Amino acid sequence: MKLNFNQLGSHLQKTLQPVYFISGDEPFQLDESTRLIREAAKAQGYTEREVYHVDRSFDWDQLLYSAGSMSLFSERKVIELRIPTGKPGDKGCKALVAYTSQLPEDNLLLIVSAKLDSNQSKSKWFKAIDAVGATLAVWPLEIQQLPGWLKLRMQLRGLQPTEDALTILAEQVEGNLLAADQELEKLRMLYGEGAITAEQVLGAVSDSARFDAFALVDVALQGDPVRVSRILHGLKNEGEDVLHILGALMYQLRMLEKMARAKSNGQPLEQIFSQYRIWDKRKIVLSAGLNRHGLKRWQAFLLVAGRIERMCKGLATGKPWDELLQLTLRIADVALFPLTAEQIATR
Amino acid sequence: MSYQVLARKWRPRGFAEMVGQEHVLRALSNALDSGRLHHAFLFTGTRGVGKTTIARILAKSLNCEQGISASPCGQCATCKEIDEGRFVDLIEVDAASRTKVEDTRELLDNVQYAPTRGRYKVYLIDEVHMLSGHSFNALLKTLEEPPPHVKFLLATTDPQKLPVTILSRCLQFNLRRLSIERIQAHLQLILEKEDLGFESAALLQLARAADGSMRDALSLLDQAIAFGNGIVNESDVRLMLGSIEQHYVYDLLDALASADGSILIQRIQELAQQAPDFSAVLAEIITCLHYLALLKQVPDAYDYNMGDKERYSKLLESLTAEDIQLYYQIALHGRRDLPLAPDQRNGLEMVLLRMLAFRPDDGSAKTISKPVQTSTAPNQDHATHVTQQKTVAISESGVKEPATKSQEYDNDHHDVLTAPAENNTSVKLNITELSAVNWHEVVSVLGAKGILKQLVEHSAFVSTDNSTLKLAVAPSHAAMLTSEREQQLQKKLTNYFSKPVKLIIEKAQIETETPAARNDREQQERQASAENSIINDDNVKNIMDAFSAQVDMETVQPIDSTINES
Repeated sequence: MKLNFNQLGSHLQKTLQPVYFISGDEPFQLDESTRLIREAAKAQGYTEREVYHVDRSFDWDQLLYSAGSMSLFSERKVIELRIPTGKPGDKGCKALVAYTSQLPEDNLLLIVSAKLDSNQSKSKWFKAIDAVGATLAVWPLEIQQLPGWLKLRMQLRGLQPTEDALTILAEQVEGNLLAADQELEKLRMLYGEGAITAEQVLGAVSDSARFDAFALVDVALQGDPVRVSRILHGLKNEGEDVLHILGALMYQLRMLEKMARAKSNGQPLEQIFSQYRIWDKRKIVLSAGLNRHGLKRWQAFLLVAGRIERMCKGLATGKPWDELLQLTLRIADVALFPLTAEQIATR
Repeated sequence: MSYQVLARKWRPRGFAEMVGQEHVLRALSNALDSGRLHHAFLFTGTRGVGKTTIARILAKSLNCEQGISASPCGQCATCKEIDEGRFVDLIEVDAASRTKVEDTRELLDNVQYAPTRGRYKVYLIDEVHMLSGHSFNALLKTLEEPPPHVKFLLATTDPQKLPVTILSRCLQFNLRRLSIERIQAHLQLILEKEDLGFESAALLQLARAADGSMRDALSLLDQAIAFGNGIVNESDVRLMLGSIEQHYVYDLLDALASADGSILIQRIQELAQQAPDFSAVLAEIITCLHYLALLKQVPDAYDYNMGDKERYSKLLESLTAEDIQLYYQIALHGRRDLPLAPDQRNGLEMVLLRMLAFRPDDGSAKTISKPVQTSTAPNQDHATHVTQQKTVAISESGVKEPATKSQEYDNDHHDVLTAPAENNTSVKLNITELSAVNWHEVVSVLGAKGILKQLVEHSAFVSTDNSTLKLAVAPSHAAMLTSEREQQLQKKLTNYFSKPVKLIIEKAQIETETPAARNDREQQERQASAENSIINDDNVKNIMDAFSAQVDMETVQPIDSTINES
């Protein structure tokens, strides 16, 4: 039987299969589905739990011994098998087929594996498991699904986010569900249950360097050179990696370049903003920047940022921090030195 | 009583005493006060920012006899025992020295048993990234189903080394490095409480050297107190830390600002005695000039991390904005040239001398106000004359040239790339004036692209009256002719003549010259004349005679056409 992640909860309320096979490379959903199964099993009296990690030295006979031996303390037990490679090998294949052909009554086998390639998912052992139990593959979330997912997870914790708050969160976590879940937990710790506003989200995530990098772009767009210098020196002083900041900066620059292009094609700003799902307060900041610099400049900024990246990687000479300060000041409309041809060279 | 180092003596006993990390403390305090605490925490951050300290305070908060809260009493037996590091239910492990899976199993064997005295068993595992893969697996099993009476506090400087399965089980808090201001203020507080004399400039030096770590700052302070025999003053601290780099950079720039060559040379000599990395010194100079330029424009942008504020304000007074710009340019060029210099010191010296020589023109003729006095100076006037000539040469070829490409970015011309070439200012022809001779002139400014351009260039003029234009296309090129293209062309012609034009294109033998054929012919003529001028050139003839050389005609290109291509 094949399941998907969203069906698992209701499936477990109805029934419990003797074998579960979960595969995928998205850690949060892997973790969450094993947790759900574990809890459902516990509720039905599977109180003992054995965990085996399948590596090179793993002896597959152990699985069959374990299945055959009665538990000392409880009637039923969960056997967990971790296959980080996604390939059980010949011996594993035999052991799994043997296990499924003679299912021990009081055991639940829970296998967690890396994503299977197509050969493995057509293999004998996989079909054998699918025939007697349930298989579940988890997939990374599409970016459009993220706000919905966040909202659901927040409601589970008793948090009621505003639209803006959701948009900012989605932007901050960039598809990393594990990080997202942790941010939500921290939100609940900071503010307790109830409504969550955009300001609260910004206040809560202020410990991450990513946030400061975003703030850096914002103050630069607002044309505030003093704060640009403060934030950047603060980040440097805190030992932040220049590439982290640069990554966030380039992400924003690429977006601004696209917006500037749309603007130079005569598209009204309001329309561009709604297309990029920009929240209200940010619109003011972005339009200040877009009105200050034209498309050509944004392209030049991107090229300079690219050069700084090469600097970090030893492919160009210069000090990345200094250049980063110059670039952000330039965005804030404080040009310390004229742009040189070298700075905007593509190679 | 024996002396206790400051870092231990002043280790915070409660959240309120901690310096920095507000975001973490607030989250933890709220969770403690509401009684909803995650079962496992991971604290990350560099050395000496408070990972272990927070974990200890958390252990107290959970086990304090006055009840669970964010502010443990610090008075009860439990709190005291934890402070003294001998509480039975706080199990502290240094993972770096116990990496093996047996160690971890042994540690976790007792997890299931209830705490001996406290409410919670707290496992504090420091440097957790050092555990082996098997140890992580063993730990993971417990983390996945933790008994309710257990809390795990993991600390590491290197969270990237932890498996994602572990990360997903812990609530991760990133502790930040402490700012220089914070550290300085804290050092001051401690010295005041210890009743010791100090200079705040000295504390700034210590705070900067601590590089974000409070523990390092406190041990440096210990050293400084011992070094200065109970008093912390700046000169002692400078001597102790051996911090010189920055102050040499200021000295060099000071010498430049006073335009005194002999002092400059002397400074370089002093610097050379420290055997520094000269390219790093040049990089420091560039950074310093960069900050100077920033402070010139935005004085408020000063930040502690830039360096000594007083030196900066002194330099800002003596250097003009133009000086800074020019020095920066010269230094940038110098950075590029430094690897080419015979040795690094010479390279740096040349860069600095260049800065000295080429001050921006302030109207006076003299560029060097105080030339270096050497015993063998041959002809002072001649030397000055040469440098002046060079000034001009450099400012024309060296500094301005690279700026031209960037100019278009700086000037923000939106249309530089997109606008079609409209430099052809020839007078527009009237349709009745059109003939086989001037047809190509119209074609060259029509602005047709791609296949349409090919088509129109291969079409020959046939006849015209006031409103229709007849063209002919050779059967060999007729495949390009479609009614759509014909319409496009008609539109372009209508635009050109500013009145409706009816276009008729017929497939026929071409009798007059098409623009394409004309181009070919002109190209050939130019080629022939180029080859001619090479062969008839006197120098070429001499070379051919002297070396019995031959001219490879295929490589001869007329000059104007290569320009057109590039």
